[in-house]
Amino acid sequence: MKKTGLILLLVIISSNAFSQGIFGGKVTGNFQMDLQMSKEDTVIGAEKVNEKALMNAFTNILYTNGDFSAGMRFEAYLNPILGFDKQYKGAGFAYRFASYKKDFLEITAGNFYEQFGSGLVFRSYEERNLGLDNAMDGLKVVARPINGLTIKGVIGKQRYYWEDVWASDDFGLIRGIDAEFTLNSLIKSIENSPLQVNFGGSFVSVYQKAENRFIIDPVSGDSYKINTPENIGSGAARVQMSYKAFNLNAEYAKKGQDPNAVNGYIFREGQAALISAGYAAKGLGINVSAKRIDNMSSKSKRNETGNMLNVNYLPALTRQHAYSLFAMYPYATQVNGEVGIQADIIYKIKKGSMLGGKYGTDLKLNYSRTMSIENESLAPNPAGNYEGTDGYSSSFFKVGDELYFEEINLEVSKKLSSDYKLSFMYSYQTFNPIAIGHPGEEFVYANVFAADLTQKLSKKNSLRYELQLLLTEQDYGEWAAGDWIQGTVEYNLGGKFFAAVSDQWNYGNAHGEKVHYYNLSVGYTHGTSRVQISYGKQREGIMCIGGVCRMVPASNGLFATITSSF
Amino acid sequence: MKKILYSLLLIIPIFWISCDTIEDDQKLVYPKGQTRETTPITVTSSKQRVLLEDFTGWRCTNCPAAAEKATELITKYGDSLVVMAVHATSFAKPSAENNNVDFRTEYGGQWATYFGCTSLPAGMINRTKIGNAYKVNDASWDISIQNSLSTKEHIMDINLGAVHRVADNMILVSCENEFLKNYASPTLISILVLESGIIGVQKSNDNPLIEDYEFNHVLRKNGLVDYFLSIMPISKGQKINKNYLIDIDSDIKDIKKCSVVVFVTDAETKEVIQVNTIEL
Repeated sequence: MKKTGLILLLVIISSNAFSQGIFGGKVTGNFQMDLQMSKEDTVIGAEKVNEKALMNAFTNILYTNGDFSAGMRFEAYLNPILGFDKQYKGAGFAYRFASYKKDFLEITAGNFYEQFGSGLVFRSYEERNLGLDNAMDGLKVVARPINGLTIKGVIGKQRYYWEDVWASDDFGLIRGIDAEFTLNSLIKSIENSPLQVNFGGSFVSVYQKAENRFIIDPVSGDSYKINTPENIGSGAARVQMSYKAFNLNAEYAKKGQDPNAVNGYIFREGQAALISAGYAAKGLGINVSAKRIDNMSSKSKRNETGNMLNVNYLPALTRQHAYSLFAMYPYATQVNGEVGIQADIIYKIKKGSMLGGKYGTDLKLNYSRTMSIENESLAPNPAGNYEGTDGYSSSFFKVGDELYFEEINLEVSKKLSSDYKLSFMYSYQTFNPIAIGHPGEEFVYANVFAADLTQKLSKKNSLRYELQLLLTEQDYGEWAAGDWIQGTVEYNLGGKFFAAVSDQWNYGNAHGEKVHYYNLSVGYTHGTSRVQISYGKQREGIMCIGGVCRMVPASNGLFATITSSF
Repeated sequence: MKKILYSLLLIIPIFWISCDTIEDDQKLVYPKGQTRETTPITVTSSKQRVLLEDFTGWRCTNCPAAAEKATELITKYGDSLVVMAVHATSFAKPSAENNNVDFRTEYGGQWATYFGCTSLPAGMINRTKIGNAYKVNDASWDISIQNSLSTKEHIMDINLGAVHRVADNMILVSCENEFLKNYASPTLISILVLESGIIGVQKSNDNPLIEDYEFNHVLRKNGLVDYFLSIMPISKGQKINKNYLIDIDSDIKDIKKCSVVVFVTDAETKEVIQVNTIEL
């Protein structure tokens, strides 16, 4: 990995020497370093950090010159900060690529990220906060032969921490193709029609060497081999339509037999459907979405669980919360089966009206609900489980009995005067702990409130006061520790400097200590560089982004972040 | 138009990268060789044994010396040592020079690659990784066997019964696997046939081409490799009885000079937990 990066650097340098055009190129980059020092705290469950200091860092260097670009990312986890997989430990060039455009083709060699449609069959992406990086290493070709038609082809393997994925057949080879065409560009007579239509289709195949996997009949002692398929195919079709203020997006995906560790090695074919319709006009936006997922976990390694090596992405249909108490009981996508709906309404009450006042009032209403899919177990195998069978049957239009997550939330934002802006948010959440792997736990029903007031002290100085409250009657331990309150005061100086103090207090914990999670932080920005230091306690929890989650362990200590770009 | 044609070339691979579909009756396969028929147990064991896999080939000039070493070790360790001669790699490739006699087996070749025993002679002692390698040079076989016998935990015993059925030309093997200690990892069992006393051609350092070389403990085809013995943790005192039917390799010269070797390995570490053998 290190060698490859150095070779790439040499290529750029040597190109610099021999190619005239290279001098007209542009080099950009960015850098981030997170430093964590945490001490043992038995009350909140923060474990002792033997290294005293942990660090995650990366830097991207990108060179572009006309239609050519090349870049690399150096990463260092020395050692990984808490909550990041220990397999990240180490340093090296994790990402390097070279790309050029010529005629109607765009070729990328090396690492790349890509997505087909909404990602139901293929999405290669990085979500640093989750420690997720499934960058492809291989080749990508994008062809745009005529206006309105785009064809993409990808081949490669996905990143798995620092492992040499090419050295082992355990890591699957991904081959994929996607085509998308804009009807209005292809047919001249409807080019300027208010009805705009895009069609697309994808096909992805993952090759993984078959493995010896057996089940044993506990009565006879006989073993049975599961005949795992080596080429796992999945395909999707999609349509995007817009007509004046209306828009409609729909995608349907189907996956072939893929017995794997996530679905319990069943042969049932997977399918996913995603549809959303929206209306957007001045002062009003409405969006309604629905999805159904059935056995759609797709990984490039059969035995892998967790967040790495995801071939596809199954989007979440819930609101992504920024306030910490609202995100305490987060939604995690159930890749083995779920039915979800979400509705968003954004409305601006006009200025000058009774409710709108002088500056108008912004309202955001969101509702989401996710249920299990209806399913009926089929006959088990001789070992009494479902490995090597089709697992279950399920009717596409039937919803299961189990509620995974439900939320209704309302946000009201209003500028009160030239110096004050107030936001108020309320959410009622129903959370099933089974959705994050805690079966048998009681549901959590939580009322969550937030008030956020920004006070402008002068042209450059402002203060922000934030108060959050979470009320729940559930108090049975790890996942429901009663009521919480959080207060934050933040001072901001012209976007250059800020200082904040906050306390998150678990005052309603009837069975454990009523812990204060205080935090002090300061930050300074100079040009494109920023330094932020915070000191305090971080509660243990789950962080979810787009329905993909990771555990965040408790910590007590210092956290510093430096970011820079050029 | 040319652009479209070129672009459509991108789509062509789709015809090769399709999707495998396993038919219903092939999803769960009852592996060939398992049977509910039994034959009486005639060989019992109550001690730890060691498996020496001697990777060899008729073109390997240093291999006769290694085979001789293996014979000496059998004399030294008696029935505590089981030797299996695995003819593999290009050293075992047949030619007119050795009358096209082919002792290679598919699984033997896979083991040579997997365990890094491709430069011959090479051996493995209980498939134990020493440092970063499984391979043990013949000069170190003795000390490695000593170490294994003195340090290896006696976890289980394998008791065996075997019979050659003339009627269908099959070998019926009954294995009684008795665990003397708790064992948490999944285990695999392999049942293989070895043949001794085969006269053939071998290259050697001393004699460029030995025409009447005697090959012993030659691993034969149609063995049953890496069948699951246990998936869940096993408790001390637990017995797992298994029965297998092996098609006799048509290359076998004399069934009376054959033996069956059964060994159990840890599915995760690949290390041999116990081995036993029975003459036919």
